[in-house]
Amino acid sequence: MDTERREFIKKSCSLCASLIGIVALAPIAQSCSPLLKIKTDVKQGGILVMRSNFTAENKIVLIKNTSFEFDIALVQLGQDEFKALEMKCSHQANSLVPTKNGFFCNAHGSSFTLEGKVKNPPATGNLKEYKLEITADTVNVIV
Amino acid sequence: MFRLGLLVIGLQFLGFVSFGQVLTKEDSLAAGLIASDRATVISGYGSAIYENNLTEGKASINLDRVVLFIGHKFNNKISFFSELEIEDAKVAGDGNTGEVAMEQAFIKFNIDRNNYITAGLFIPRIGIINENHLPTTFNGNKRPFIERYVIPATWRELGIGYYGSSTKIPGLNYTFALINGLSSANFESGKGIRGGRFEGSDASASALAITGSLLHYYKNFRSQVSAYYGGTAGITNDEAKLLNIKNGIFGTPVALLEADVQYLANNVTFKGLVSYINIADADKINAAYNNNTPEEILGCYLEAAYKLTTPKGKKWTVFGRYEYMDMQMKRPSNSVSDLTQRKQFVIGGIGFQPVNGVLVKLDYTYQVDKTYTEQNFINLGVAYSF
Repeated sequence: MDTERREFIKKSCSLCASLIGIVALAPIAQSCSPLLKIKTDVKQGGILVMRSNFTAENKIVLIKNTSFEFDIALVQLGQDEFKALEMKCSHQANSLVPTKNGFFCNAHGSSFTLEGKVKNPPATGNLKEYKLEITADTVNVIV
Repeated sequence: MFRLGLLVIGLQFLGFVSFGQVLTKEDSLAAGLIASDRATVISGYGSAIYENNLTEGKASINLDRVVLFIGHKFNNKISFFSELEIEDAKVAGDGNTGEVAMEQAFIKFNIDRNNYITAGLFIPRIGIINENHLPTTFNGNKRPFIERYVIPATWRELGIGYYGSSTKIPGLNYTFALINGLSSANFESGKGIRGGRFEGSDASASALAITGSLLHYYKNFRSQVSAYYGGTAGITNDEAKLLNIKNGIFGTPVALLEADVQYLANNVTFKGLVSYINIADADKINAAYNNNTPEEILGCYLEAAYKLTTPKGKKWTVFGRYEYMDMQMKRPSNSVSDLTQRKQFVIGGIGFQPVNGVLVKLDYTYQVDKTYTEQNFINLGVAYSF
């Protein structure tokens, strides 16, 4: 009886491990479209992004400004609503991992919404926002 | 607050803090003294726990840990990170008190924005708690049992690690590290490989280990697989011959596999983790050190939690967790069977977060082992991180 129970637990754990493995690896196997990236070098002024870069599937443009240490994620939240967020965790200043569903810090597990608000601790502060100038065709990120 | 003010003034005189910048409350407390043009970061975390063993009628209260983090950015490419921990509040010469330990102390070299290297004492990406071990990030006063005894978190060793993020697949991260191995001489019965960690203290570099992980964020899922393989006999050739165990880089190896998935929606969280350890030469370790080392270890847990935010912004969390671990899933013939090492746990509790960074926790733990010996605990604690 004990052996059977043990086998059952072993099989359950194996099944659990298999399921976790499938859930863990299946999305990687899918063709995930990468975030649109813009490389630039602006020390001070504005970084102009065309609104046509934003599509129904892609609401984030990642700005890689070489003059700054951290990337900037320009997020379209509504038709005329945008936010430009610094990809620096407010907990211990580690780089964030930008995804289409939010921003994650691998160092201690903090996560942030696309609006830049803390979703999970240990971070306690929201992400730094850059000022924007929005026109009909462009979004200008003021740095 | 007054001390913090003094600290900030001190940092200003040391040149770490730029003059002319007004420190707001958010700057200094919420962001842990981080600002865009400041090079030194100070933060920390800690927890205190009241534990009542209802079965034995015994209660205790302890300042579990207080950790001070100090980081310094030398330039945009090179930074220093450290965590200094005091466990159990007091360290004295009577041998019956806590410990002071470096939990991390490493230099981080940024290759570019998606790739960096760490060198020093660091925490490899294995399991959930190991990297994310701050008490405000996990449910319950105690870390999951599986991530204390099967994955011996907080598991830090000396070495060099590579961390990367894919530019092709959003949310895909990977790590690879070369670290010092374990010491099978210090394995303890019922505690798996935990006692074999060096934790940066005079570690043997004759035995080494490699570890790697894949971590992926996809929609609300955070999924990870990780592996570890390393030697446990960093001893001389003569000693190895005398003890009849294999020394060398990967001699008398330990292999660990782990997979976990977290579902992180706004109010609902699910976690699942499985970990397996194989110690192929457990019989030889037992013959050499008589420490009842098992050949295979298995552990898994499932957790569900629901978070509720009141109109005033206070957060409540209710959670339940089931854990199973078998520290002797398979054992060599020269070991002693111990049915108490096959345990199940059911933990349930609540957490109250009056403000981001502070958590009051109350939980109940039911523990039963294979001899049907039961234990019941109630834990009440407070945790902080900033």
